Amino acid sequence: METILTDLAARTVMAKKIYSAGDSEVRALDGVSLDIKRGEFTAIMGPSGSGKSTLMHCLAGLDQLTSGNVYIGETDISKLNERNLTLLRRERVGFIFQAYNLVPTLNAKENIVLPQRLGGTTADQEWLSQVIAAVGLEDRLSHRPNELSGGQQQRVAVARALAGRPEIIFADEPTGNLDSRTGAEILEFMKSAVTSFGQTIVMVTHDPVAASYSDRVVFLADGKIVSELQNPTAENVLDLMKQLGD
Amino acid sequence: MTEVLKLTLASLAARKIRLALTTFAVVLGVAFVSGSFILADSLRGTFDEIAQEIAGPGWVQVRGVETIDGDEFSRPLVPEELIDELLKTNGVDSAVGNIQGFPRLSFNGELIDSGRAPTLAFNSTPGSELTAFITLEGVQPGPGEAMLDVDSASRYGVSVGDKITVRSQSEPEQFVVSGITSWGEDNGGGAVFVLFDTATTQRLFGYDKTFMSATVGISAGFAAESVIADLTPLLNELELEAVTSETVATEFSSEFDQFITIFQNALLAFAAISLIVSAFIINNTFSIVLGQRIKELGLLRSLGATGKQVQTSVILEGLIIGLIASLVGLFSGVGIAALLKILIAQAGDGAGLPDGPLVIAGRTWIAAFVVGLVVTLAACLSPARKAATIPPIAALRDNFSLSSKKTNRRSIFGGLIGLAGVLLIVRGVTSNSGAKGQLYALSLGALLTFLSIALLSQLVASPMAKFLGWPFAQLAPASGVLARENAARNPRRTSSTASALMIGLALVAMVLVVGTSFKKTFSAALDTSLKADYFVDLEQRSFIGFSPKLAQDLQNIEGIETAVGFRGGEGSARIRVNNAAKDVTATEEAGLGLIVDLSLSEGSYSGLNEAGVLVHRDPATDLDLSIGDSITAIFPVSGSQTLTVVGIYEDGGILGNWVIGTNTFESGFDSALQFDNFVAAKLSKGFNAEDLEQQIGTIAAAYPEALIQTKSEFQKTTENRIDQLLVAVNALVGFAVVIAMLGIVNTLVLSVFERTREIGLLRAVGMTRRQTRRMIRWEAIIVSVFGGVLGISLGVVLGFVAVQAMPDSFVTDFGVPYGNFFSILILCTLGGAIAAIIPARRAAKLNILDAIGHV
Repeated sequence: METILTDLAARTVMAKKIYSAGDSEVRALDGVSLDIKRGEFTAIMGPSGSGKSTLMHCLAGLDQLTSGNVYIGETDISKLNERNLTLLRRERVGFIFQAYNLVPTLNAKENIVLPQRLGGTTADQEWLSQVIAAVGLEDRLSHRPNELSGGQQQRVAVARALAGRPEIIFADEPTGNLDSRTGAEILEFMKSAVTSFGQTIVMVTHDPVAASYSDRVVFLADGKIVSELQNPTAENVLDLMKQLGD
Repeated sequence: MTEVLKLTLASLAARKIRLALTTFAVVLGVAFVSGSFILADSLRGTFDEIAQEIAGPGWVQVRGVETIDGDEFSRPLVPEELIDELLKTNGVDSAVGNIQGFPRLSFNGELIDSGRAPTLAFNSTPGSELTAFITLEGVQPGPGEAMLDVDSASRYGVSVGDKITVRSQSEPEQFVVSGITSWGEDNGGGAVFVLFDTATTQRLFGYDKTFMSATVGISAGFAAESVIADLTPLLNELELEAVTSETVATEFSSEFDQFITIFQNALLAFAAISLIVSAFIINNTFSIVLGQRIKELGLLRSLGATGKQVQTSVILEGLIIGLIASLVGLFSGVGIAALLKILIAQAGDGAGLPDGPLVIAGRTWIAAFVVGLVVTLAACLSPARKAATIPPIAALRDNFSLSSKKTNRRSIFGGLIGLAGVLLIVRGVTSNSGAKGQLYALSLGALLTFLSIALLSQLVASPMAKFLGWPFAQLAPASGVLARENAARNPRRTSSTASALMIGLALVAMVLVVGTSFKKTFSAALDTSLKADYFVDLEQRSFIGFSPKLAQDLQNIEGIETAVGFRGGEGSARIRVNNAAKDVTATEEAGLGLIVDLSLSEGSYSGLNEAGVLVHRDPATDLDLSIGDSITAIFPVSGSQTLTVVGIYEDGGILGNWVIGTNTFESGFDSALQFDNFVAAKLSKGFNAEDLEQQIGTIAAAYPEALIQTKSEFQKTTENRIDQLLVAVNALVGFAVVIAMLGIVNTLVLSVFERTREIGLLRAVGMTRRQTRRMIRWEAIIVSVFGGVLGISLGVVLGFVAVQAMPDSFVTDFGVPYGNFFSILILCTLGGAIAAIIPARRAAKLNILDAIGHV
């Protein structure tokens, strides 16, 4: 039992998220149970409105479930208060957003170590230089976000997510704003973080090519898991998407 | 147009907090303006009412012709025997002589005092139909009797048959209260007064067979003017005149009107400062909001709105804010008027203003609306013009920002008006264009300097913010650095917000510097030129000083070497030299050099008592006077008199520019002025203050109006009085500071809105709510301390200039209140923290997901 639990970086149990507006209600998540293994790169796919973003937000503690449970490691985060949730995000979770979301007043280096600074700790210097080297930002560290290209900004965001060695990183359409070449670079970094550093990553995407970098693709439709693929390629992801009638 | 209006209203409704804060900033300014008018008009109303009561039915006043312009006490007296002559005149129905004296009254050893109006004595004129005094209880006073006014009687529990003690310039006397009286139906005016019979009044106040004036009643069927014409030949011989009761009432009103107008204009000056600060804030708010609405306005443009329409919508928004603020401000003015009254009572050492109903005159309505609308419109003009230049493409681009290339132009413009401001200030300090011209030059110069610094401070805003934020960055590497960077990221915004605070604080700092310089000058004077051991001052500000007997009584104590009184002085006694009125002070030769050192540069003090005069260096140079010269001076009572210049001195700070002997003063001025305004005494060698405690205590008990103080006590009370005045002035300037703090709230609320996405991100990566609040709070503190530093620096410079501009007789030393400045910076920190409460709470409450999705 124990070994199984610690093998999981995160999991949801019968996760339900219901938005009600007046008489009608929308079941964004309708009983999703999902295990995320440590050291695995998981992609979540699905058509618009399938609940993939909601699932990720709830997994990351940014949003609350209506019912069911979410665990990060062994912590049931649906039971955490606001402050502990924030601390959990700061210490155990990393984020990569579609729109980079860097703090404009801080330079690249300061952005990368921001979560640690917020926690009043300092990042492991050796690890930090390894991460910075991996994303190739050594000569851009003192630049502000507006002095960096989109790809460079996203690399800073990836470095920020990796810097604190979180148990799990959530990436929300990380290549959505990038051209395909730059996007491929970012995905390559993410993949190598998983293979070389054993980092766990969950990525929401609608791009079969992006999904092909992952170890496992989970397909969502109408708030339910409808299918999943191991070691996907762009082609078989696309095939499955067609099958699911997207 | 209607579409534009609809859009404007929708935009206002969507941002209620912004609307409320912006409006409130204008409301405070407008309220100050209308409050000043309301208070002044109400005072005028009260005094006009009193004047009307004075006028009453038609009568004629016979009085002396002023020998010194504007000096009520320079009128020759009316001889007693003239009354009979007046009665013989055709058309004269009645004629009575009047005397007004300044007694001190006490009951059971307690001083009877209203605290804000003089204590007066009149001769009762029984049987005169023209008297305004009404007998409420008892009978008219005979010898050894007095009537007391009803308000004082009830306040001090005095009833008919009780004994009250009356002191004038002679020995204290006991009088039996024969009755209770009232001046008119409602006993208006607020003064304490007593009535004596005519002979007693003449004796007590030194009017030997004379009156100050006579009131003449007109028989039915006669016109006042014709009676005056008949009387004129008789009166001319005696240097007397006759005027109608209406003239008397008008003179009374206009005298107060002058005073009220000065007072009103002073308040309006403070109101203007508040308004300038309000304008700064509205301008800043509109500029920030415009930056945030670029996309929205660009969308309007792309849908076919003209640049003009966009501009109109911004101006309309300003207009609506101006209208609401004017209306709310007008009525808040009533509260401000009440507040001002309390402040003045505080500052005036208890001598407050008379009560009366509050008046909102038509002019106040106009002023409130003109001021409210003009200020808001002026402030939103430049943002509105900029709004018109937003191109439709702005709707499509994410990062479109209005060009701010103008930084250089702003700096050059700021530098130019700064230069103009400095030149005006220099001109104000050095020119001889008279106090008024100097004041205008200084005020305009200060205003230009403010604007210049507001424009230029953006150049230092970023480095300053980084410098001031340094401790925060050390304290918390993340939220501290962010707070610092946020304050530094938009130098123009930070500098405008801080500048609004700077204006108010610069004035506060200037006032404090001047006050400290006063104290320093004063304390230096105590060590060098005013070397007394005892100082006798009035317990409360009053219209008259002490009986000359007080100085005599002090002198009679064994252990007192010399005690001297000072009469007259600034504004209370004037002689005419070379056809110009000069304030004159009188004292005893004995005290000069011993107690008061005027820094003689020529001649000596001796000879002062033999019709001598001491002249300050400045007028001596102007009139080309040297020792031994004779000058002809016109005195109110004794008329033309020759004085010999015995000494020329340098220090005009203590006794003014002209000093004469007490004996010269006694013969030259009306008996109503024969009071010592100040008494100083020196201990004999071998005695110290402890030895005399008992004797001094006895005198203090006999003269409850007098505050007999040792040197250290005197220094302390004087400094306290200066401090009280500073507090009152700073409370008036405080309005501007409060408005500026609102400006910080406003800017931060808008900044938080602008950075919604960024804050959401910070929260997502692990910033706690507490850290979020702290980040906003520290940013506010950095901005407000920046404003404080700017304000204090400018205030010290302005204070230095003001001290230089003031005559040496007021202030010579320059002092900087470091302790106060430290407190101001602490208060800035607190103020910033308070200003951040609302914006910080809003930032911390942002929903992370919404915030990240926010564009």
